[in-house]
Amino acid sequence: MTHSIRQRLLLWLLAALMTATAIAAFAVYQQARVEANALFDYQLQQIAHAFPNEGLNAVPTPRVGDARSITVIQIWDRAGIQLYLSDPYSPPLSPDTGYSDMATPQGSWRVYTGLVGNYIVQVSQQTDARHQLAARTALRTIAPLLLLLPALGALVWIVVGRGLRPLQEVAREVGSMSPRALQPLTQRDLPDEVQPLAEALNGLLGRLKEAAERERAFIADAAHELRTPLAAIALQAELAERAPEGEQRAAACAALKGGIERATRLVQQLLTLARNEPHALERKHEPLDLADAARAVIAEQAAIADARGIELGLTAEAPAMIDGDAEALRVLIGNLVDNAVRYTPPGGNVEVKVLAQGNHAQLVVADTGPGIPEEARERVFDRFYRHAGNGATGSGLGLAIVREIALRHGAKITLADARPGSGLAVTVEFPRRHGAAA
Amino acid sequence: MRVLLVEDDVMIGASLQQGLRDDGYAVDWVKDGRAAELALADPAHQLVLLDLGLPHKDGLTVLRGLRKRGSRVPVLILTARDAIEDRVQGLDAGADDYLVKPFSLAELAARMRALLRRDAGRADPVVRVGSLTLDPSTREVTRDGKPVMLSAREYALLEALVARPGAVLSRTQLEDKLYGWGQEVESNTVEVYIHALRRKLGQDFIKNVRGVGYMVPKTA
Repeated sequence: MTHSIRQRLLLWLLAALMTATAIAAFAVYQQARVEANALFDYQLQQIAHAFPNEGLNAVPTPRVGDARSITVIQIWDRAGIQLYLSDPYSPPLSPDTGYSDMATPQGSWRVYTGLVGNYIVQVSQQTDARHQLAARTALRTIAPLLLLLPALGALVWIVVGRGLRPLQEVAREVGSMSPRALQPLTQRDLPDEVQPLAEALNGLLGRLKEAAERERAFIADAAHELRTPLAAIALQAELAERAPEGEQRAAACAALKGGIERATRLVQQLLTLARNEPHALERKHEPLDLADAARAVIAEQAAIADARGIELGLTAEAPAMIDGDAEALRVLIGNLVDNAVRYTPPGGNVEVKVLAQGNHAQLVVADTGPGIPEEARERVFDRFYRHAGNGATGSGLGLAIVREIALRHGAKITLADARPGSGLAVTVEFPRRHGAAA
Repeated sequence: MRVLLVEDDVMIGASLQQGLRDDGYAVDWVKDGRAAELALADPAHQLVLLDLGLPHKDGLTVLRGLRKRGSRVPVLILTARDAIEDRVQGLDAGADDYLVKPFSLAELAARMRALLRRDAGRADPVVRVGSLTLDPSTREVTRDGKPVMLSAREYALLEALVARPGAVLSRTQLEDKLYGWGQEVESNTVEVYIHALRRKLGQDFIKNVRGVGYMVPKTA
């Protein structure tokens, strides 16, 4: 089967037309036969009764000719002696009077046998001839239709072609689009059948454009943000180069190493963020215990917290099962705990809590730091946003990463004061794993 | 030469302060826009190095406020914003130069010298007063064609005095140009350096205006 709608339509339409024509021809033929039969039967009877009642003498039988007449007339007397025969090619005498059908080796006949005075008059007609007549009638009726078929085909071809033109225009427009400039399709009067396709395409184009813009913005932001640590490294390297041997050079080199570490951390976080983008490759989610994940992270960061004089602890009374990406969740919890430890002054504490309630599993990280004022709570999740006066060596990506990971897990993040007016409590609410509530 | 550095990034700020001090500048460093405005209220600085993305108050806002108050101090913007619109906006807001991060300390120093030169109304990169020449880029000083060896502080003091020959600078003004905030100023240091300079350049080169301060005459 061909894949062109135009060809397919043409083929099917022509096939349907031909079938319809054939059926019509058959119907006309049947009708014509019935009518012809009635007419000819009447004619047979008329001919038979047109003979005089008496005074017929035997007439010589005409010689056999090539042309056989359609109607054959035979006359017998009551004694059964044949008096007349219009054509030697004829059926025998019918045993009954009235209409009858007779089959002879030469063909089938329609016969009218009537008693006219003292004679038996039989008028016969070959059925074949009647059929031919009906067929000719049918053909005459159908012929103009058959002649019209090519014209109809051409018409269908043109009309379908026109109907499909909007589709070609849409295809041309989509084909000429550059991935850098994804515009929605121009508004035009599209047929109802093409409209949904155009709308779906516009939807996809919109989403693609958004994704591309997000990506571009991300790359621009990333490049911009890399400038700062690179500027620091460039300056630190220049100072190290200038520094005289000894203590000064050692200090300059230490500063340079610090700068490189910072740039490395930024690059690492950029990668983590890119990996946790909503469009990133979907990684497998597996059933895991949020409390276990928190325990692992806290074990990792305990030494750092201790060195800063911060008490770091976990409260998790029962397992809280969720479906999640273990590695990403470790990054999420790690970033939250790292932030809390970083911004909490020495002597403070950072408390991690894991709760399972109804359909939700909650992770809460609360600290005794300065907190985040209400008006900044939305913005701290923006990439590269740094809250003023925080020492400013962070990448500004930690919470952006947390948000992306939470989004991928269908989790909700809320920021609140840990205590009235101070401290920060970050709550991440995950949907609980099905079947684990029991 | 005293400069104000406005930079919120700790690493960049520390490196710049260190590098510029090595070049003989007195560097005051503030880390946000509000502190910058406070520091700029006192016209002690000959040059301002201004970052744009600052906490509390954006660098451009600080710059516009500074110009509105009529300050003519040269401002060099140091920023990661490299788009042409950003540069145009920065210069139109009243900056005298624009340097995109990352940059080299050597280029920054050269641009600073150029700005200071223009600010002093000179086109010649070498300062000439009578038979004395002073080259800010190499910090070489000659007297009657012969090189004079100076320490960093001596050089800084001389540079301040020859910047405006004939103008009298008080001891406090001279101290301001030698020391940034938080740098310990020993008493009578200015006198010590003046003494050293006179020894190397000739007693008459620097005049003492009793009760007022010091000056280098226009035709020394």
